[in-house]
Amino acid sequence: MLKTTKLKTSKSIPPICLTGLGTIGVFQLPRLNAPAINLPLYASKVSAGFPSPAEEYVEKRLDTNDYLIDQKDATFFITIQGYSMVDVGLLPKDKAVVDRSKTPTVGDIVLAVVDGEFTVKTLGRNKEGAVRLLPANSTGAYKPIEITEEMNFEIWGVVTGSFRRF
Amino acid sequence: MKENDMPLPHPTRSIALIDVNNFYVSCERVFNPKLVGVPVVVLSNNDGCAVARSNEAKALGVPMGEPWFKLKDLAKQHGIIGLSSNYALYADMSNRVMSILREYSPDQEVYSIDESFLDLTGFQSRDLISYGQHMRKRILKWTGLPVCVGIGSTKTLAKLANHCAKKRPVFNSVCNFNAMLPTELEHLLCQIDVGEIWGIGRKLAPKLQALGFNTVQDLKRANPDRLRQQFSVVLEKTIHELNGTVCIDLEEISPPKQQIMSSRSFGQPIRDYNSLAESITLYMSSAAVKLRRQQSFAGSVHVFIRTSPFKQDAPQYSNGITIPLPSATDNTMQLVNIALWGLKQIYRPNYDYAKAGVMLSELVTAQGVQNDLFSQSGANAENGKNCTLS
Repeated sequence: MLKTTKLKTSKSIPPICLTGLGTIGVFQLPRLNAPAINLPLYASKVSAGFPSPAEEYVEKRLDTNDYLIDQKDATFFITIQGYSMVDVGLLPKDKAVVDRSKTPTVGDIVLAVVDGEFTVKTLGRNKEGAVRLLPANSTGAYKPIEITEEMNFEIWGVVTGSFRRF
Repeated sequence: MKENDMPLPHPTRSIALIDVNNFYVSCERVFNPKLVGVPVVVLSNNDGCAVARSNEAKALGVPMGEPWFKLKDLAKQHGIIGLSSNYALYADMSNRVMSILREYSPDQEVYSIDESFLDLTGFQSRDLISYGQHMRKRILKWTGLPVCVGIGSTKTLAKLANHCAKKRPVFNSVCNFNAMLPTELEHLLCQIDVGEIWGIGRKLAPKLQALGFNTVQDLKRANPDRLRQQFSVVLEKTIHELNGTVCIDLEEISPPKQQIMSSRSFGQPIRDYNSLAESITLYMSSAAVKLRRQQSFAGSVHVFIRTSPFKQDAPQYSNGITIPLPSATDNTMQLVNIALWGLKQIYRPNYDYAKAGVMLSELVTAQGVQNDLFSQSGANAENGKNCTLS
């Protein structure tokens, strides 16, 4: 089973306070020493309906860590905040898998750092070739972030998956 | 065995020391990019002393081990940020770095939470500087942590090469003494203070300087027999190591490990019981993770503490205790409690402790675990609880 360790946010110690500094409370570390638990995976795809009992055919067994994580030494979990990426299926409180070993390319969903703030967006480029970070929300409530030379910009990792509890 | 695998008459080893720059601070920066470029100190949890400093904080003259309350004015003036330490995070990041490094050589000695030796002798057909750059870049990309790589023919030289990689930008964080011409290396060693050598502390350095051994090169040229008589056999070994003769070999731990060791030399000597207990808890937690990763259970726990053998004029104390367990376990809570009990037995006040560690031994695999008839819960029953406890 997938287990996570909540990271304590490193608190500042008075008198210096961290006003304005982002927290790391959103990060969680995959617990990779957890024993693999292989659960049966049914071969037939289940549309949002009731699976036919006749199709209870086990194709293979699935371990969730194995399914979600390619490169364990480079993988971190984050918790999604806000609605900017709902169109690609990232809802608030979802856990997203971030893999730092992947090389980001245009079209990837990435965890980026813009002027010290973390944001999850789709990586894009404008006509001039400059980086833009695109939201995925058809309401138009979120605008693309155009990265300029004066900005402090870094791609922290590539978002390779997500998971959610109901 | 192929013919060219045969050892040469005078084989030159290539030993690398990889360490993370300002480890605790660098870990914090990975998850809080606003800390980049700002003076940061990480403080110990019990007494609020600086246990790690960013380069910016070092440049402002923040001394290692300084309590935060004494830094208040300086902190206000320069905006120094003090962070409480998060050992669970540091242990996780350390495990990632060590695991990545393991891919670069089968012979690894994890020397401390942020340092590892690798024996690269078998990889000498490659360009070891680019091999080192590959490691450095991979660790930076995968974990966000900056490391330096030093390569030499002995551990002492690898440590020095690492120092050069860190302090001299010309090396771009990777320095290989073995790839330098003898004159080039000599020129470099003439510029390094004798106190930078592994094992030569602040007390020994002035004594050596008084005898005219000011630089690394001076000590390298010294007569090892004479200095053994005057100082110690440790110093004699150091001189041999500076000349390329291996006296301190890698404590290799090759899988499957029969023992799991987790220890560290402290940057600053530790005196009080609580700080030692904090360190022992951290080391045991990281050892327990390694234990579970290889799906083993420990049958006995060893705890040790010692003062610095390099400071022979200070009172010396060294002790260890081995505690056999009624039934093998991989449970972090249990292992930590046992280790802390052991620490209590061997701890003596008023010594400057320089190193502490734990070792798990009598390891058995999951199949080989025998439950103790009389124990409350068998190891297997606890296995399911690990996840929440550790």
